[in-house]
Amino acid sequence: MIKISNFSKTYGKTAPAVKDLNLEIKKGEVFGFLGPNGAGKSTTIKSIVGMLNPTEGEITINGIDVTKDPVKSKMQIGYVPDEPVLMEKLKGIEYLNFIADIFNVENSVRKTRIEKLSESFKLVSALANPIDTYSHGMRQKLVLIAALLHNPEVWILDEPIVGLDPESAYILKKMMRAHVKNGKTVFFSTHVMEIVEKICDRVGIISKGRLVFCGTIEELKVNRQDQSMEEVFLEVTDSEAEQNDFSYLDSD
Amino acid sequence: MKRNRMISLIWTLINAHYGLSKKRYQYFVQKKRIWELFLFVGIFATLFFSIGPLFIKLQKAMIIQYQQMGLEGLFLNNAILMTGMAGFFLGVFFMVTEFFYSKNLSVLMPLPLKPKQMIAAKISVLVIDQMWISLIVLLPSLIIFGTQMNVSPVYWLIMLIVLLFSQVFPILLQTIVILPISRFINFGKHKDFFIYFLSILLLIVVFGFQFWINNSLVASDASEQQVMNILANPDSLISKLGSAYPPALLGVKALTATGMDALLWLLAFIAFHIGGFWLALFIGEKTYYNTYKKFQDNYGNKKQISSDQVMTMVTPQQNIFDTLLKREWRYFLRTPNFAFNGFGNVLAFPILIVIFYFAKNNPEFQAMFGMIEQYDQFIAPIGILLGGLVGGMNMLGATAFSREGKMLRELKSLPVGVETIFRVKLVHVMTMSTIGPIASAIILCMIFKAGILSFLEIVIISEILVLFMNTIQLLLDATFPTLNWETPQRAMKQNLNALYTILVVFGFTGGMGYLGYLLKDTLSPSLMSLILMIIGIVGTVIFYPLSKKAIYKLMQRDLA
Repeated sequence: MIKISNFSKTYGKTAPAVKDLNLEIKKGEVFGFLGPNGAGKSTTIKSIVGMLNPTEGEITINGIDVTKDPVKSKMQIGYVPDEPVLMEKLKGIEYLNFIADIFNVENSVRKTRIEKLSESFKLVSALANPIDTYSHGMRQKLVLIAALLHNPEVWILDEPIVGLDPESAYILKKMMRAHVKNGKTVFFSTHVMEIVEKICDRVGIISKGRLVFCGTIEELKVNRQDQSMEEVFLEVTDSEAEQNDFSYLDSD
Repeated sequence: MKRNRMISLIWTLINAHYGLSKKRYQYFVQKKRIWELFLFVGIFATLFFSIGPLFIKLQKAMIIQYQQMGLEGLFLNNAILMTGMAGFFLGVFFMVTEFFYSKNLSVLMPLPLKPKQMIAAKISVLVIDQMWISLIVLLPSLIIFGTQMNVSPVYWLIMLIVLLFSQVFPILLQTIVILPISRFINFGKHKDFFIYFLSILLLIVVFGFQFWINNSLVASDASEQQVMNILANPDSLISKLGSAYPPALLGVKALTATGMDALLWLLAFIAFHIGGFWLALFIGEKTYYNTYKKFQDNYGNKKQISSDQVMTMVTPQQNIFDTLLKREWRYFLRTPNFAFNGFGNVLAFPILIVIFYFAKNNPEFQAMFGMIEQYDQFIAPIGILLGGLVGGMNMLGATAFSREGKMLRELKSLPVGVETIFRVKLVHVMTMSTIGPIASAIILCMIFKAGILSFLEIVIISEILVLFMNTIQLLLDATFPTLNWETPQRAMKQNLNALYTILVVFGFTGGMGYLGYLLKDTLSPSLMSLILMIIGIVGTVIFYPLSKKAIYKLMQRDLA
């Protein structure tokens, strides 16, 4: 379970990137975190995983405060960042062994999970190669495998679908559903509305640092039954994209 | 913490830092760039056999001198001190980069690791990385001391421990000073600049302290009685010098004492380092993660600005050359590591020359100047070679493409010709390099009271030589660029092309200098200057098209 209470994050003396955010993501729930670019999604996620300190408020993972007990809270998490940053000079398998060591994954468990996960994401043969030979999609798969290797209670995935081929994206979606079915938690951000509609139990929409909606897809679509998810999103975030005139693009 | 986690962390960081797995894969699976191995061996063999004998001879002569004065411990003291200072000087930016800007921090920070575990691992990597300094500076001195002084077998064991610990103190000192200051001072959006500025300040303080200690102990105007006192009690001199750098004092005592005393001094030496290590871990535990997180703060302007305001920022059309040159400068100046290393390299030699100038009353420098004064009619060729050395040693040409890193893709995607890219890089590098010849010419002309004509001769011909050497450096970096780096330090100071450049520039200026010395009775100074100018012009004419071709090939190369 993730609990975010009165969370604000301000960088220096600028306007807050996230203001007074309250969220509770329960066990057995896939929670989609949506918002336009620069709305505060990554700031929130980086604060959950302990990469940023909250300016105000509190974040707990399964009751553990991420600021007060960062090591214990990180043990609960499997985190996929918005960019697949890896130690590129290592081989894929070396990276996975390293992650397994840090999370104290026992030998027999690590063998099984590396085998199963790399087979699922079709990355087996690439694991013996240095990571800098991987494509963007392969790096994303490796980051995913690393994040799920220690069987974390809580998955925090920042735009995990970006770069994945359709088959891998499908597998990941199925994994997310299977994970919450076992009473665990998935918190993920995405810009793909179709995925949100298909797999999320609840969604939160953040715009200009403030949570503007939190509820189920059905609640989001109340009185908007004839609109697509994309249109609903634009409406909730006060986007003016629909009124834009693009005729200037091809004029001299 | 379980032992295997810590070992795994340290080993992974070392592997990632040196790219060991990647190299193994490259050499043994892909069977590519195997020539690199031979090149390495070749370079080190050349250096060893060319400089080695002279170095050993000098060291032996020094040790005999010290021995005659009963100050042989001072020989070891100086070696340990110099190794530490070199480690401090070369390691400070590396430490900052590794702690705050390394890309692997994005991987490590979300992992369940305590700050002290991370610091211990990072310090291990830094110490191992700096060991080459100890191997070059300290190891030969320790071996020569051992063989000259007929030491007991215990010496060799203690020597090994002193060698292994020799880079620990500089790294610890940097960590202990920089981490807490960075934590408690709010640098705001200029944090990157200030952290490097702080490092330089620390360097200046340490060197200033050393300079002051040495000067106050071995003053040039010391009376005969003072000198006699020092000679009568060499231990007090070592103790005083050692108080400025405790590892040197403890190391020397451990290496020169016998029996139980040696063991006790060795234990004190080890305990001193362990104490420093725990202090660094303690400070790091309290400050490191919060400092790092503060450095992640994004200070983008969140103020709403109107379209009209943005329009005032749109610049009028510029030609492609100016646009790319502006890009080159911005990228250089806005990456603090590049800017500080670049300016540091450019200014280091002129600053050294200024120090020489102000220290001209020092007996050693007086002797050196006296030696050069014999050849004052050769001031122009000497100045030209010095200007060429100072201007050519800044490594900016040798890293011009490496510094682009993944940004080279951007350059490649732009509709810009190779000639323009080459000219932009060359103009940038030459602008920075110009500081060297001018500073050298000013100082030399002041010391030898030479006129404006000599000054102009030195500056102009040095510039031609620097152009020649920069063209070679651009060729080198376009051919062997280091594009896939995780920290900017890797593109600058830890770039192999920088090592090759040292060979090229030192080889050329040193070789020419030696040749000039041999031919001093045959060639007039003017003829020497003329020959150097011709070499510079011909060399540039030969290497310019080769460099351009290398850049063209680089731009055609597949960039994954």
